[in-house]
Amino acid sequence: MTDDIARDVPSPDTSANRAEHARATSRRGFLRVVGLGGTIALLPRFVVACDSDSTTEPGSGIPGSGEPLVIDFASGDVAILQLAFVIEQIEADFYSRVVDAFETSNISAGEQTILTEIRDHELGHRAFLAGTIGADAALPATTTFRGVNFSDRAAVLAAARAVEDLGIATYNGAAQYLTSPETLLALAKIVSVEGRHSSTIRDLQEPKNGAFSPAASDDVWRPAKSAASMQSYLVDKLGFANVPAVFVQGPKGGG
Amino acid sequence: MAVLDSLRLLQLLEYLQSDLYARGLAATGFVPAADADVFKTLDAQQSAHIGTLSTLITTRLGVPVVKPTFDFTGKGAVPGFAFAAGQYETFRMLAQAFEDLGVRAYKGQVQALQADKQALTYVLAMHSVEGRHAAEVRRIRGKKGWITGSSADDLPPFAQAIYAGEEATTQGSVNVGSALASNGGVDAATQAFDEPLTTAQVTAIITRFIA
Repeated sequence: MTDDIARDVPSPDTSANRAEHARATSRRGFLRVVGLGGTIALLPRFVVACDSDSTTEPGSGIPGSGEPLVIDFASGDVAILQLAFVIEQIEADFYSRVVDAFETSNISAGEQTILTEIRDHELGHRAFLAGTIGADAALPATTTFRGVNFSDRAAVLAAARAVEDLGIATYNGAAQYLTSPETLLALAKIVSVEGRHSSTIRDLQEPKNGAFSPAASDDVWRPAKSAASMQSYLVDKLGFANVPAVFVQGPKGGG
Repeated sequence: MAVLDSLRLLQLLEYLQSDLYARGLAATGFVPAADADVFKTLDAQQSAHIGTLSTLITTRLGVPVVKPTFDFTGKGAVPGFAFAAGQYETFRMLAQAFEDLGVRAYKGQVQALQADKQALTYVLAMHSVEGRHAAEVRRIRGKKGWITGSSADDLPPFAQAIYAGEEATTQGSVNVGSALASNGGVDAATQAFDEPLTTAQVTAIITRFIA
């Protein structure tokens, strides 16, 4: 899901390509800033103000084309909860769209039951985080699943797998920044269920072949690494401020 | 030291899981070919967890757990179980019980590890994998990948202790069951959150299977 962020290829100088280049450049700028743990991760609004696809394609807007959504890690545990809340909004919206598309999809009845239950779990996670953070600090996100064909089983499962694994890596990486034992436990209660989800989705794709658990240890990603993937699901322009400079890697490293 | 106690408890749990799979796979013709990849994956990953935990323990100047001899009849809890022909479903039941136990045992230790960020992070990376394992074992048994209420499904009575407390529907100050009233309700609220088990609870369950 990060292809369009990493891509930087020369292209003919058409108006459309210039617009795309501006977006790609702005995303690279965003990544640089969060990667440095800097104090600001926002870009000038005018860069994206002319993007209109998000208003003509509900739920499929251009990533990063919208309003800023800034998580300030100086706020402590609240920031980690806000990060989790963004993840859960992505997951809840994703599965809600999956369920909404059942009538036109080639997903079997049994699989529809599974995906509906996963949606319900994600709605539960979202409700818990919204209630815990409180209305003043909860950051509502506008999600986008551009390019996902919700009528196609294979496309839905591939996207679900990516979303679940992103959630797991993000939770596992952010936990080290928490100071409250209660919040640590609460997020641990959620992440093992995300592990159950990922395993289930992977087993639907590749039954009984070991794909349910690709490694003995799951990924552990620093927030700035998760940001790149998260941004691909957000119309909002995701920004991090005051990202902690120190990150303790997991067993696999590379986070 | 609390950190070492936590790591050693998890290592004991991993030995319980690992020994079950190793013995099941070693018994000729016991695990059907269709399920072999699942249990080979579980066996390899639990063994890797044992190694990861050993390293965490020794680098903190602790002594890793010596693998005990396990008795999978559980002192009468699973009468006559011996990895014998016709007992494969009992084996899968034990696998489900021990994987769901693993999720809850890991979760019960994370707060004790909070100040040791490397131990915490490594344990979390294994904890979510326990969730993957549990879901897969449940699914090959024809169950949902998640725990509903405190149901031990069709497992033997000893396993009820593994599911005690899973029926929670309120998390912190949020009544998740109410929030999901029209989207799965109480069942979904219990499925969506795995609950921890205490050291004492986990120790009691494991001890039953130590010869």
